[in-house]
Formats: sequence, structure tokens, C-alpha cells
Amino acid sequence: MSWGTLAGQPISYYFRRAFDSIFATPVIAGVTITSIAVSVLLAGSVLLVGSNAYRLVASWGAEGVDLSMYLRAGVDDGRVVELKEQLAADPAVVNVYFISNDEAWMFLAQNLGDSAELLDGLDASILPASLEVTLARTLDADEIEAKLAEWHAWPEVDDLQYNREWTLRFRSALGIVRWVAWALGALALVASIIIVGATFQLAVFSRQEEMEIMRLVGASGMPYWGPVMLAGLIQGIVGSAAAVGLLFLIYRGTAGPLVGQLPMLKGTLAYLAGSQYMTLIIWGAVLGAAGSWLGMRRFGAWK
Amino acid sequence: MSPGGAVVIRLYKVCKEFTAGRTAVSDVTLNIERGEFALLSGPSGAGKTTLLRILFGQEAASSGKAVVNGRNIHRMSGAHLAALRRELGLVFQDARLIERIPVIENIALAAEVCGIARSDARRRASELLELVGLEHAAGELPGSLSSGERQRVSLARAIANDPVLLLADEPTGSLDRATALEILHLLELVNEAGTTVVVASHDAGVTSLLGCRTMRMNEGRVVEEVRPEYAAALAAG
Ligand SMILES: Nc1ncnc2c1ncn2[C@@H]1O[C@H](COP(=O)(O)OP(=O)(O)OP(=O)(O)O)[C@@H](O)[C@H]1O
Ligand SMILES: [Mg+2]
Repeated sequence: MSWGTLAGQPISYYFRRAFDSIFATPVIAGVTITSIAVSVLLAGSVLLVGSNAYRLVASWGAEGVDLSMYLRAGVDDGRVVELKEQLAADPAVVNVYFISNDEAWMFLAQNLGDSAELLDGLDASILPASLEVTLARTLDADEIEAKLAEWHAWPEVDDLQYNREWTLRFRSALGIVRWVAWALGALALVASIIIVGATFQLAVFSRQEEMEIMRLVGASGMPYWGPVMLAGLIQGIVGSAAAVGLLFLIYRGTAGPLVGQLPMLKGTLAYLAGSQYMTLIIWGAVLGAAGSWLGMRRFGAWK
Repeated sequence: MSPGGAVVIRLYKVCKEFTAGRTAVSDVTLNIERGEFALLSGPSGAGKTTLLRILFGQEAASSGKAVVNGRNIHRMSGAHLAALRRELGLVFQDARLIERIPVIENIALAAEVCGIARSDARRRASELLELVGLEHAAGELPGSLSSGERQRVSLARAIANDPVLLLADEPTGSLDRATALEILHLLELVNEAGTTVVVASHDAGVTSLLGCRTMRMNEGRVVEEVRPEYAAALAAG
């Protein structure tokens, strides 16, 4: 029946006393579990919405920054190959390819479709050849500016073009998502501590007489406070498991219609990852145990 | 009279002041030997409860020295205090039972706290319930018992670990005379089995029948002591 002892008491003693106290005051246990569930639901919602928003914004910028490096007319093929290699060797560059005048002409003709006859009589050489460069996503705005300045100074380069505004906006959107998530997370944390702290005071208050009696018969140390902490831990796990389950149902209920409204979300929206689940459950358990501990301290029952 | 003659309680000039000038216990010096049955009597506010609370470490004496079962209890706390309490049995006017667990568990828990295996603790609790005549109430919650029955449970819990010393504060305080006498009789049985017993009570009507060593307190001091021989003669009439 017992699987070892802890501070002179069989493990079963701790579980029996913990479950006893939970079931003896079902209303208070219910309030405690609910308060932990609310806290974890709060934290879980921030985590769920935050990580999806982050993923979404990040996916918009997943292609990285593309820029076109237009070359002056008359740069010879050998030099173009050299420039291309030089760019490819740059750690800031993910990908680079060359578009000749003729290819540029061809793309233009394709894009014009039926109106391609507009180009009749024009010469392919009026379109500049370009090197199309994809920059690494890790670069920040300043680093991008520095690279552009460096390349602009090359004598073969006529002009550089990229969608600067879009890149900056994307970067700052990512930053905002991150900050909002942190701020909401901190808010959830404070709210949780207040809610759970208040509930556990109630719980310990209801158990005060019993704790006093335990001390009078000579209980101390682990056999004294262990069951209370364990009860908190158990209620924390139950509460957070309920919250994670509820969060999943809410996600199931909203994700489908949301993708229906905004097809762009398809493939990006996801529920929490396994490690996030675990984090939430552990967070609930920690809240439960810490709440018990604080409650006991509050009533001087911790000795 | 006392096997080995060891002193279980040794108090030397013990004082307790709660607030300046308001003295609850004043300059109490006394020894109680192993196996004795002693009564602290005196009017309400005399300091009996405070003195008992000093003995089981609930209050710290303001000055003086208190040794209980060989332990100096001055400013004792935490694990040492708990260890002392496991050697003591305590009975209060309000039986102080855990209301949400059955009677038998209340008693068994005290034994478990002392490291006795659960099955043994429950067996011991049954024996004790039989001793106090409550074997039929083992599975009931304390709330369904009368105050006399609750006090008997409390007494059974107090002796669950064969304490060296049993301290009882107004154990008959809320009981009618017949029930009070039953409880006192149980205390005498406990004493006969070798436990030192100290009872605090202002209820002279009942306790004078004990015929035991009596220390009368007033305003924090022990003002009179009646030796057991004499007390017994008085009790006999
Ligand atoms: N915690 C406390 N704080 C302040 N004063 C106290 C405290 N406990 C007791 N006293 C005071 O100490 C004095 C002795 O009280 P105590 O309870 O020891 O008396 P008692 O002899 O047990 O009385 P009773 O017969 O009514 O139980 C009283 O004047 C009381 O007001
Ligand atoms: Mg008193």
C-alpha cells in the first residue's frame, strides 16, 4: 500500500491527508480549483493568442526581404558572375539570381499579355539587367540600410529597390506582438497571484483549527505542512488541466469559423504545443503549491 | 510514589507578563514528580491556563526557568517543540477535535504523527475508544457526540502515545457533575497507569473530590499548597 516514506511518514499518509482535506471542504476546494483554472485559462489564452499572432505575422515575412539590384548598361557577363558570387558569399544574403535584359523583357511581355504589342519596335536593351537578392530574415532595419549603402557604392550598380516600408512595418508589427504578449502575460500573472492568494487564504482559514490541533499533538515539518502543500498541488493540477481542456474547446469552437472568415489564416492557426501544455499544467501546480504556502504563512501556521 | 523519583516538571521563578504591569503568572516555583496527580486550582484569571500553556510551549515565560520532561522549554520552537508535544498529552475544555474526520481517525492521527504505522494507530485508537467507553462511536463524526463524549475522545487522543505527562485545562468545564466525575475518573485511571497528570480547574466543587496534591493560584502566584495526604483526608470527608 505504501511506496516509501517521507520524513517518517508513508507517502500514503500525505495523499490520504491531502485528499481528505480536499473532499472535506468541497465548496472551498471547488472555489480553489476554479480560481486556478481561471488563472491558467488567462495565461493559456495569452499564450495561445500570442503564439498564433506571432506565427501569423512571422509568416507574412517568411519570404524575407527581396531587393532588386539594377546594373548599369554595359557591365560584362564576367563581372556580373563575380558580383553574383560576391553577393552569394555575403552572410546577409540568402539567395541571389541574375535577370538579364532579355529575361526582363520576356517577363514584361508575359505580364502585359495581350497588350504585349505595345513593346513592338522597342529594344530589349532599354530594360536594365538586375541581380535579385533575398536578404536573411534575421537582419534588422539598420543592418539592411547598411548593406544597401555598401552595395549602392559599387560602380556597377545603378539603383537598388526594395519595399522598405513593408519590411519596416513587418518588423515593428512583430515587435508589437511580442510586447503585447509579454504585457498581457504579466497582467495574467499578477491577476493569478491575487485571485489564487485570496482563495488560499480562505482555504487555510477554514483549516486553521485543524492545523492548530495538528501542532498540539506534535506534528511538525513535512508531515505537518506536506499534506497542505500536496492538496494545493493536486488542486492546481486539476484546475490547470480543466483550463487547458476548456481552452482547447474554445479553440476548436473559434478556429474553424475564423479560418472561414479569413482564409489567409489557414495553415498558420494552431493549438498549443506539447511543451506549452506542460508549462501551463506546471504553472497551475506551482500556483496551487505556492498558494498553500502563502496561505499558511499568512495565518502563522507555517512553523 | 514516583518510580525513580524523577521530576517531570521543574519550574523556577517562572513569570509571564502579557503587557507591562499585567502579570498572568508571577514567580512560580514548583516541582512535579513522575507519577504524580496534581491540581492547579484558583479563581478565574488566576493564571492556571497561562501556566499550562507555558508547560506545553504555547507561551514563552517572560522570565524564570521551565524544564518539562528534561527539556528546557525556554524559547523552544519548531521541531523541538513538536518533539516535546509528542511526549505530552493535552486536554482542553473544548475538546479540540478535527470535526471533518471520524472519531477514530482523530485518535489514530495523533499516533500516526508520532510515527506509528497506520494500521497499528487505528488498532490503538480502537482500544482507547473501548477504554473510554465509546467503541460504538468510532466511525461517527465528532459533531454528533455530546460534550462529555467529545471530552472522552479528546482524552483518548491525549493518551494515544502513552505520554509521560498529561496536561488538562478545565477538562470538566462544560460538563454536568456526573459526566465531570466520569472524566476525572478516567484521568485517575490514566494516572494509575503511570502517567503524570496535571489538571487546571476553577471548579472546586468537583476537583476537591480528587483528593490529590492541590496548588491554589491567585493573581499569578501559587498561594497555597495542599499535600495529597491531607487532600485525600479532606475528600474522604
Ligand atoms: N493572550 C493573552 N494576552 C493578554 N492577557 C492574557 C492572555 N492570556 C491570559 N491573559 C491574562 O492573564 C491572566 C491569567 O489568565 P489565565 O487564562 O491564565 O487564567 P485562568 O486561571 O486560566 O482563568 P480561568 O479559570 O478563567 O480559565 C488573566 O488576567 C488574563 O486576562
Ligand atoms: Mg483557564
